[in-house]
Amino acid sequence: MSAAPGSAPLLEVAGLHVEFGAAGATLHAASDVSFSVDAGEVVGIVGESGSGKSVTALAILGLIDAPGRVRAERLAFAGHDLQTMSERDRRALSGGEIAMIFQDPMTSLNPSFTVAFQLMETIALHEGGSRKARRARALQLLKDVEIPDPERRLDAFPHQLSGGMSQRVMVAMAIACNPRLLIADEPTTALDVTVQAQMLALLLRLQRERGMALVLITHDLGVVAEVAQRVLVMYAGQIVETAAASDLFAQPRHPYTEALLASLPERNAGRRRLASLAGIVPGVFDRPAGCLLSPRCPYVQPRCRAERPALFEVGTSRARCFFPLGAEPRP
Amino acid sequence: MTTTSAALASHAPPSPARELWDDFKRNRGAVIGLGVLVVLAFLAVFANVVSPYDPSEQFRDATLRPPSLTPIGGHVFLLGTDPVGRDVLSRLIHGTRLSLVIGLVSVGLSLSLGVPLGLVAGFYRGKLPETIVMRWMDVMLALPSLLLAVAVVAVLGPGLANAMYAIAIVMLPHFVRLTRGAVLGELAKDYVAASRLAGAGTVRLMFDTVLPNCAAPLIVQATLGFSSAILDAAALGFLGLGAQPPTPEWGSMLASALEFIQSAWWVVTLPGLAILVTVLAFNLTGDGLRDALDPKLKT
Repeated sequence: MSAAPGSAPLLEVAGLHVEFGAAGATLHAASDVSFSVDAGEVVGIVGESGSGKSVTALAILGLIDAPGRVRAERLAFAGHDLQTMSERDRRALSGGEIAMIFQDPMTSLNPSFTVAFQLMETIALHEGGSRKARRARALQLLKDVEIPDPERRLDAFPHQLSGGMSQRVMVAMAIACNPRLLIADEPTTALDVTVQAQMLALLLRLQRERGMALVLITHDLGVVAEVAQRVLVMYAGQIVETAAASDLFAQPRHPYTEALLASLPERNAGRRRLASLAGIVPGVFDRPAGCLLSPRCPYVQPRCRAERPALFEVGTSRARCFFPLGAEPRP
Repeated sequence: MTTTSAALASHAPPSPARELWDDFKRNRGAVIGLGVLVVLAFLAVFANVVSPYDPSEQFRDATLRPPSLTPIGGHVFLLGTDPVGRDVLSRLIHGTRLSLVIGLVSVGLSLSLGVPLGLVAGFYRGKLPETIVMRWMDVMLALPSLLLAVAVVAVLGPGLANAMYAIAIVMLPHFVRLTRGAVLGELAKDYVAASRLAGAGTVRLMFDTVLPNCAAPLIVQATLGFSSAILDAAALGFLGLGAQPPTPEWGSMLASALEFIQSAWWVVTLPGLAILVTVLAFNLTGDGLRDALDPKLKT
């Protein structure tokens, strides 16, 4: 702990690269990703499928296995360098202080054990206590995540729960050891719309009550607009824009962000077709030499095809574009 | 409200064991198989009490007597006697004990070696441990199972214990491959990642997180393995490589009575029937268990 608590960001990521595949056909799942999360902050990461959102989260947690390669200039949690610490310390840290909620609630719980068993196992690992105390704590956690009829759910097996309930149990397990950072990887994708709203409200309430930092990975800009203070927009493994949520929606600086916003159904009321961005995210073999968005960008210039832009300051935002929207082009 | 909660309580999901039994008993063949197994297990446990005579006792004045209820020299031989005057029924009952022990020991040995190997192969996919384990298993699978068992017994020397080791080795690749396949299926699921994230080490992940979820196919394979173990043991006994005389093992009973197949049908047919019934019972039970344990076949 070099810095005083509160002054250093909770999570620092600088120059994170995640690569898969052999040399020559390397898939850059994440390249040069840098961001930080302050204690108690809600950060949204958005982007379409395959843009590197989940991979970034998994890399932070050390869950990328060989043959995947992870390197970063700095990867630190609360001042501890995650890359230099031993596997054992890292596991202890990530188990207690960082928690993650996965996309698919139906496979996120171990089907062989009851809810109580799984919750109590987590509690035993990080807090200990008698069996009775742990069971009481498990019950309290289920109440915290607003599961109806929690006493009966304690002894239920995961296949006896609905998707929404499984997800709530996942949240209960995630907050069981009072983490300082919660990473939610598309927590609402697998749920239906009414449950999605409840889920978000629940996550936000827990985040506020416990002062956790929350990293919300999603492809739903509406969700981000509601909850996040800061937004990272990812495309093809790169961060293309970062901005305060309000700025992002008022004045997107990157054409990709603009296209994402334009494709929101709310912004297409009265039109016959939803606005969309033609083409797909470049893969291993069709990665352009210049800006990664250049084949799809409606404002593409010759320079964009030749050079790859860095992340430039544009007003209060940062955008990876030579010709940011609503601002002077970069020299 | 009280009525609804009471109604809800009565519809509480059944316990896993209860659910398994409900699914199992829908299959009539499986229930019959299980019933036969219970009887066989009873005979095996109480062989000393149930069988009329000692399995090695020779009645010199009553060799090769056909099955009958009439006493010969004060003794009733319900299923006849063999060429040296031993009671076939007593030998069959004691043979049950041997067959079940053979199944138990060789399946147990094979499981206790095969499951850890399969777990290692699954967890270190694409790395050296997997290559070593799986290519080794491929080599073993390339040999016909009986030939391999004969080769193993030839190395270890004939005898019942060595036959059981040989059978365990022969069955090993099946358990390893099955475990590895089930592990790979489970490893892709998020709860494993969640467990890793919560700080679980590899050994804990293997045995506490993943293995219980691979139990269903392993239980089925173990039950079916019982029957192939009994068959292989009988085959080895028949070849003179398994149980040695005068052990009342079904396969060696067949072998020692072979020359009388034309003149005294019972000395060959009855041990053969015993093998048939036992193997069939295990197979029926195994099939029933597979249907009951496989969620994909559930309605």
